Amino acid sequence: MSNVVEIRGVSKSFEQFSLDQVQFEVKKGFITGLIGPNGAGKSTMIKIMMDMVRPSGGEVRIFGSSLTEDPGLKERIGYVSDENYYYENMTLRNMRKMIAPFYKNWDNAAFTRYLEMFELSEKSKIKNLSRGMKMKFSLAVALSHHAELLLMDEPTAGLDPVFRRELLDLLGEEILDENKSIVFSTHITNDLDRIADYIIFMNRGKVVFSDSKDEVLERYVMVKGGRELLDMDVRQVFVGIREGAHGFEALAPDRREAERVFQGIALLETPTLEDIMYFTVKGGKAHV
Amino acid sequence: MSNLVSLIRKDFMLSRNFLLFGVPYLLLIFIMNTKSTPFGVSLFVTFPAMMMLLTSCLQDIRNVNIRFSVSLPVHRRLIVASKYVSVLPFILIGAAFALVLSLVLQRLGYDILNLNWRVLGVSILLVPLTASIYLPLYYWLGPKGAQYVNTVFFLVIFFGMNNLGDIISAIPGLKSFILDNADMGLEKWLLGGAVYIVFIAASYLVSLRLFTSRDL
Repeated sequence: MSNVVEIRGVSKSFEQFSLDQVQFEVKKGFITGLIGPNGAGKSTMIKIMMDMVRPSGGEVRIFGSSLTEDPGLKERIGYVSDENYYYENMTLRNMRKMIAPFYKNWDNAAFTRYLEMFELSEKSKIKNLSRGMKMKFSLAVALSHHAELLLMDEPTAGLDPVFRRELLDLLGEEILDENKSIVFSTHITNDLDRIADYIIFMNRGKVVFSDSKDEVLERYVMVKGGRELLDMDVRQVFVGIREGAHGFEALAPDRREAERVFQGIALLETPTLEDIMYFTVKGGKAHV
Repeated sequence: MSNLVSLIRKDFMLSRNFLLFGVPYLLLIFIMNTKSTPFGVSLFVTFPAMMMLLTSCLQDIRNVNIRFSVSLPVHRRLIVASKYVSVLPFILIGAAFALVLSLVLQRLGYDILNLNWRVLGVSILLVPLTASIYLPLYYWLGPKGAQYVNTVFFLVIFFGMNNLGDIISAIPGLKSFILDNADMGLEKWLLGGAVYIVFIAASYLVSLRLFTSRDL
């Protein structure tokens, strides 16, 4: 199985935040979800992949090469930003005229089809579009040059539930072509529960894990039980604990170990990605 | 279409609105200044060209639009080069604008100074020179700082347009140099040309270095 993205030991420091030795791969033909709380470094990582932010250390390979050395590779990438970066005073038609010459595989028919699907008029100006509509336009552009890799930064933010689901279905259809790969950053983990094959979880500029979604959900376990079960040794088993008046729920990173300790005395459940993110970020600090 | 041409076309699309809004203003300034400055018609080659460059750069720094250019499959050095090269079509547009306006005004009976080729040359050469001062500042200061640079350049250009005759007269020897048709000698022309080209090349290299290392 080949990788379309390889990130090796990437570091980058900002005033209040830094990426520290980030390392992961994105497999060809799959949807990879990049999750983490706000400020975890997801957007920065996607900008690094797009060569918009230059890392201070490490290596970034897209399709086996560096975008800095070969920016022409961006023809094979569809980028969807969390912020609108198209010119506000331009109409969609003029934006299309501006963008199309840069892509050999630009497909006007596909672009028109996506605009119709997303109910966007070419006569509209970017500044008159809602946030969700701008995101739809951005998607239409990304999909209209037949990109092999879609890099999407919070694409579902600002979308209504109906279109969010349609978008996820659309991405599901896109990925049926085994040559296509999608990286999808979000803090709305429900979206990834539905479509992701692989999950990269980032927190405070570090990768917590990078694995297939199924393996992650099999490895972690939610434990729910009475507070009398919690002593210092037991607490060590958990990544994070949420304690209430009548009991606790906690996330354990090793299902076998948790089953050994709690079988028969506590309830064990498969966590959601949101559970994993929440408890990992909060650690032992969560209280009701 | 080569990517350089596509980038210049993008800049033209961004700045063409200026032509719609700037033409009435230019017309007014044109009528007011044609008699008072030795540059006459030629000056109006410089003004639209610089305004179009500034307008396209201003569009790029609004919101996070500079990311748009960087998201395209082109090298950053091409993005910088396109800003420098775009002054050439902008000069042509300015020249066409000045020519049409001067013909119209002559027909309407305005007394327009005869076209002086040295003056026209200086007017044209002013554009890359000004752009070479402006662009490194634009790339150095980034989106926030460049807004101030743009404001300063807009003011300088507007002020300069209205008072160029006085400015030229105030600098000793400048007026006679510009209007003196005597041959300066080949050596001086070559030296001047070399300094001019080196200045633009140095400006491009500084801009390139600034932009290629910038996080967006």
